[in-house]
Amino acid sequence: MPETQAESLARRTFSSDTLELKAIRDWLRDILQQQPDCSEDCVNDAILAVNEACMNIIQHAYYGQANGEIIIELFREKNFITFLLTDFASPVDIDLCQPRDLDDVRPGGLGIHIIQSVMDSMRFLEPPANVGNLLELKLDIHKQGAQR
Amino acid sequence: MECTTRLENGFTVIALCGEVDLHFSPKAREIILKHLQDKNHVLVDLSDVTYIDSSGVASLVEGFQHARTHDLKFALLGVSKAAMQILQLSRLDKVFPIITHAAEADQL
Repeated sequence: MPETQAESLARRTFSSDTLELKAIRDWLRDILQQQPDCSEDCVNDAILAVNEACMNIIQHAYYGQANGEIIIELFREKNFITFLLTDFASPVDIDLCQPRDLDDVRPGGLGIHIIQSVMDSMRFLEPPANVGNLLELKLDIHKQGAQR
Repeated sequence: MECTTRLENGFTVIALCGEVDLHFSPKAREIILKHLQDKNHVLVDLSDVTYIDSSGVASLVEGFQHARTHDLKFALLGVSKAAMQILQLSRLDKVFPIITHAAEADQL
C-alpha cells in the first residue's frame, strides 16, 4: 500500500467488460495530464501498463466474464505515482505471473513483460478479506523512458 | 477500431485505424487470418493506429507465423509511433518485416 503521506488522486470502479478498457485509458489520461510534471511519454507508459494489467485481470482472473469489478486507485507521493488495482475474482497463482522469454516468438504472454518494462515496480499485495487480488504498480514520473 | 482493406502491389493491405485493444483485437485477428487463408500476401498498415495493446500485437504475431508456415508474404506497413513503442518493448520490431511504403513490398 502507498505510504501514509501519499495523496489520493482518484478512485473509480470499472466493470471487467473489454469495452471498459478504452474508458479506463481515457480516465487515466485525464488524471495523469493534471500532474504538471508528468510528461506525455510518461502518461503513455502508465496507460500502456495499467491497460495490460486490466487485460490480465479480465482474461486470467475473471476468465473473460464481463460482470466482474475492477477498482483502480491512484496515489501520489513525491515523484512516484502508485496504481492500485483491486479485483474480486479468485486469487491468481502469483508464481505464474512472470515475464516470458521474448526470444520465443509466439502470440500472447507479453503483458507482464510490458508492465515491468515501463513501471518501476509491480507487486501483488496481501488482499483484504473479500478481495480477490490486489496489484500495485509504481511509476517514477521523473525518470525518463530510457532510464526505466 | 476501424479496418479497411485494399489491393496494392500484389498485396492485400489491411489498414487498422484507431485503438486496437482486447475488445477489437479478435476482429483484427479474424480479418488478418481470413486474408492469409485465402492465400493472399498481406501488409498490415498501422500508420493510423493510435493505440495497440499486447492482444493486438498477438494478432500480428499469429498472422506473421501463419504466413511463414504457408509460404506467404507478411509485413507491417507505416508503423505509427504508438505501435512502434509496443513492438520495441516486446522486441518484435526485430522480428516483423517493417516497411514504410507499399512499393517496398517488392523486396520482401
